[in-house]
Amino acid sequence: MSDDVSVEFSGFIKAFRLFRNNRLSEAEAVCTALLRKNPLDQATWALKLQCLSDSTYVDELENEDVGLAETFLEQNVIAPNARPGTSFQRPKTTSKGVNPILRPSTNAGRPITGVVRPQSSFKSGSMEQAVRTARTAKTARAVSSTSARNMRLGTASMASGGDGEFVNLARLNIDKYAADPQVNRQLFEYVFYYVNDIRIAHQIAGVATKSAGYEDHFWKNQLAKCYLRLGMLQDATKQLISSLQQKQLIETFAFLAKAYNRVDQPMAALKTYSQGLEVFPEDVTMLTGMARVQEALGEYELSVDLYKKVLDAQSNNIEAIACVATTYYYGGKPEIALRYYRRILQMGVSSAELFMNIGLCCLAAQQFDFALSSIMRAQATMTEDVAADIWYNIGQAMVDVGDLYSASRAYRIALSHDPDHSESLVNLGILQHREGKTEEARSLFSSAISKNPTMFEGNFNLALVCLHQGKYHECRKLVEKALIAFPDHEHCKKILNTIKVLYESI
Amino acid sequence: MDGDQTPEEQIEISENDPMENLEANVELVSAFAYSLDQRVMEGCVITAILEPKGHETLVAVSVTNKIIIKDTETSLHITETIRCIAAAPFGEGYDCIVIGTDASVICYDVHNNLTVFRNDVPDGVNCFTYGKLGELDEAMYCGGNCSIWGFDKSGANTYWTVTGDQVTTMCLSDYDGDGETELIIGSPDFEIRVFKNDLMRTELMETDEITSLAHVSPGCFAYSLNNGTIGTYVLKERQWRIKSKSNVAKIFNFEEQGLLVVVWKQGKIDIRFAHNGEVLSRDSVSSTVASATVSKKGDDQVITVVCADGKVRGFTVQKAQSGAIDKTQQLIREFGQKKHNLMMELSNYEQEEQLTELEKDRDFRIPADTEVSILFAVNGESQLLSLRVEASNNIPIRGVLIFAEGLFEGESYIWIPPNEHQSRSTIDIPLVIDKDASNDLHTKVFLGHVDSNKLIVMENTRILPRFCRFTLIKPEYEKYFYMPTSFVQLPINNKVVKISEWVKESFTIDSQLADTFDEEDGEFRFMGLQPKQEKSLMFQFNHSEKFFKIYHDSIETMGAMIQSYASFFQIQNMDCVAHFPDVFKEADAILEEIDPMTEVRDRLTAELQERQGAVKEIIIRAEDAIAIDNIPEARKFYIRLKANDAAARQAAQLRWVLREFSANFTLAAHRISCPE
Repeated sequence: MSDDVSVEFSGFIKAFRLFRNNRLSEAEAVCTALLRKNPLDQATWALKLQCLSDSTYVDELENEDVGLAETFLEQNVIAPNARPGTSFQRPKTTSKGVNPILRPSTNAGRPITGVVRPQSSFKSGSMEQAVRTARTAKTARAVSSTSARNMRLGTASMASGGDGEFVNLARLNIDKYAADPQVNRQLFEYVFYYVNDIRIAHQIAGVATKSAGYEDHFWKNQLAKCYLRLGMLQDATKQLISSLQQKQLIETFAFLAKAYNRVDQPMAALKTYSQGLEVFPEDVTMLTGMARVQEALGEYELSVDLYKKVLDAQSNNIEAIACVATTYYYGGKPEIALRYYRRILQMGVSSAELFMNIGLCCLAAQQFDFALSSIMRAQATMTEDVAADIWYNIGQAMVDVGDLYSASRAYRIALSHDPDHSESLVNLGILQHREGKTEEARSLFSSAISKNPTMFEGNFNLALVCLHQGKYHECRKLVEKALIAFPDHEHCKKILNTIKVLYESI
Repeated sequence: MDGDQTPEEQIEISENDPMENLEANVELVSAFAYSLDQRVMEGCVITAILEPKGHETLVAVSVTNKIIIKDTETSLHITETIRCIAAAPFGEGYDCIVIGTDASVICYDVHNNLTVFRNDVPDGVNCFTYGKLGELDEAMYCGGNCSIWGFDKSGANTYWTVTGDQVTTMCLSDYDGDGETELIIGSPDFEIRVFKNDLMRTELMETDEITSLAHVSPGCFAYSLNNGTIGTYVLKERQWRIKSKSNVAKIFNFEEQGLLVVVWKQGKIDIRFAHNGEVLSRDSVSSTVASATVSKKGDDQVITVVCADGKVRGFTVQKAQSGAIDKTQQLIREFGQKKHNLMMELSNYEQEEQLTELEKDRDFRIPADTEVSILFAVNGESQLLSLRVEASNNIPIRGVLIFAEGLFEGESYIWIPPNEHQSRSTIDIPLVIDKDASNDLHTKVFLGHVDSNKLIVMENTRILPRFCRFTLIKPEYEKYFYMPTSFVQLPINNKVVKISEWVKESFTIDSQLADTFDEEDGEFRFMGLQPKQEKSLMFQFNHSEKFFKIYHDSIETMGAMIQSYASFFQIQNMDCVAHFPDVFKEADAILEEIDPMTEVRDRLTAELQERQGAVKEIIIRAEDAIAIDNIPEARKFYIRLKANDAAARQAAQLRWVLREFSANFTLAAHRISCPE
């Protein structure tokens, strides 16, 4: 064996090897050169399609962006007011459910979870309210899922396609190529992921299914993907069920559950996941999906149990670790949470959020020295998009150590990073109220409410101020709103009772 | 109580009436009343236990296509148009709601908010029935357009069969008393069909569209027709029927056995004996009834009647307190009426005796031996069958009244001469018959001289043969014979002794001519009569090779003919060869076109959905613009919305047109694929 013999690949083999090594842009360049020589080379053509679609590939399973249009103009949900606990719109509100004081909620009205996920958004109030809710560059919800993707992928295709579009879909003989099993998969993925023309993709999948004699589970799944994107959830479900009858795949189960989630039938989703688990025991995708559904239904204990099962199967699953840690933290066990966060750190993740979480855990566990160093590190590594949250938490830490002046400064800095950070607004309001600046506090609370109408704290605090000022009517309205967010809050109920007496005495 | 207590009911009870003397004096008692505050769709009301250990709850469909559940704020949204609804015990100790729409069957578990299954049914579902059919396991049976589907708990298709027409109502009942349930279906083509497992066992011809069917007891089921007839069949025979002017909304069995509850659309509710239809008690609600159901509340059974305007009334049945007295009163009244009639008759005779000969002459008496003959006559030139009424002694006919169910519009036909002096002693009444069904013609002929003020009424009954639209062709009308291309070949077996008997019974034919059918081989040509002018019929006998060929082009008539032939000679099994080239060609053409049609429809649906997505997005954007007071921008969005909306509408319309088109196609395909 001599070292100086080097084999130089060329032509299609070279492109293919580059593709296998995931050097997509180089592979694509080679393909382009080959195609220039011989434009009718189908293998190269297919490879180039594959290169292009792989460069913009999104995991369709995790892609759960639900835009405003889908949320408010939904037509597929059968029961808009299902029994609590059987619908995402109405999680359980009993003692074991959501408690906004012990576990704060996000801007969209969901209890905070370990990781940020797009779908966890409530359909709260009317469409108008949702439109009015402040949407900045960071908190914006897409108007509709298709438009959100279109925008993003539009830029992607512009960046890579130098000399115009690679395939002219309008002039392509779809029926011919879609029926050809050699190239149809590549063509489909190119149209679906890269061009993002779902209608053509659907047409390709339809023709391909037919030419495969309606017996190819792959094409049924692709059809279902198209239907999911188009919002035709029933057709998607139908395709997936028929695909499962042919071959049971993890992906199919997961997509089916996703379709059920979209029509707000968590019970059906859970059933699908358990069916999947029977075929694929301890599968991480199934378990994670189940845990997410349980979490969204407010069944935290079940959810954490499932996440623990995920960790048994795959001990480096960051989502599971983070969710377990969050639950421990809000469950009053910061030391245990700390151990989980350190585990994430060990796995090589080092983000500002993680250090902040560690810092907060240390603070709650009375390890002030560690807390301080972690928070400082978080501050040093933070990026613009999390700055407001970091400064807000620093403010919290300051309140905990009793330095109220620094705390209010921290909140102000948080607000300078993100003027819509409602938690900071509320806390700053509380500090202002302590100093006797009632009117300032009022305006801070009301701006917090206008940013996030479902927020419990904003409504409750403003209600308290109103009660002190004798504005009982306003107070009652606010308390009622606060009770929607947190139905079992004792203080609110007491206030409501005192006001009731006053009303009756008139 | 309403004014018309007895709307001209005609009761017809067969002779073998068991006349058990049930001492059950019961009456309806109002139990509760409330309102759903929504208009309710006709026929779409059920009661179901929706949660474990729950009570039966009323579930109805509103005219706005929403499912209303009593005592809950929720209403269920179904995107497709709902046609019918039912409950099936598919949950663990509770019921799931099964919804039939114009495209699918959806089984929905309210308790867990999950869709148990959703199956596509082309052309939609019209009715449901749940239970055990024959040897099959319990399943939900769905009656659609010419087909019946059965789905089990998991949504698996356990049963499928085709039938000749739409299925409007179904019930599971033991039709022949053999201990196994049969599926009984009712169709708008006036037929009740009985399926044993997936084979058709019997067809029962009724006189109007079947509107509802209900199981009563083993071997007995009840039916109702669009023309207001209700009745029961016991062990294959009709036991009784009652005709009224009202329409039935729902009939069902009540209190184990023996009682039948009939709820009429006009708001009346009757309790009747199931064995003779006699009314025991009645009550009424003030407005039009949408539907009714019976449910258990504790030990009592409650009849819940839901009106179209959403008002709900509940009734229970209890022992009557005043029933006995009512009965004697009624008897006395009946006897009084009888006495009055007899007295009238007697006074007529007395008057007769007092008349002088002269006076009798002035009365224009008709001779005592006058007879009226009623015959079927065929006009060969116009290919028309008519009923010839002929009075002897040249007595003019002043009027003819024919009563035949389902033959004429409004069931009876009245012939009166245009003016008195045109009365003749022979008249022809044209009969244009749409169906192959034998029918009883009850004729009343009014005879009398033009100046006479008394008329004689002659009654007569004639049976219209089943295939009276065909008659043996006469040589002079040979030009009206069109050679059919399709035929069925039947074997002539030993049981078939005299074909002439069958021909005599089923066709309009002179009895002398009929005998020729028993002779040796030959061809017999029949002429089609209106409305079948161009559909001729031909029999071809070949005794040496023992076969008999029927040539005819209409597949439906052919099916009926073979059934009639088989039942006349009591043949259980018969090997036939059928040849319908035109029909098959048509079916092939349809099948060929259906495939690309579904493909195009799929594509159009995707396009429509994409456009709808765009519309939704623009609505939100416009709202957004208004929220930030950017009115010019909002205006732009609304203009764009208008254009997109128009495009979406167009796509929807296109899809709809295509769907109609393919629905007609599949219907035609069904019709072709299910000859008996």
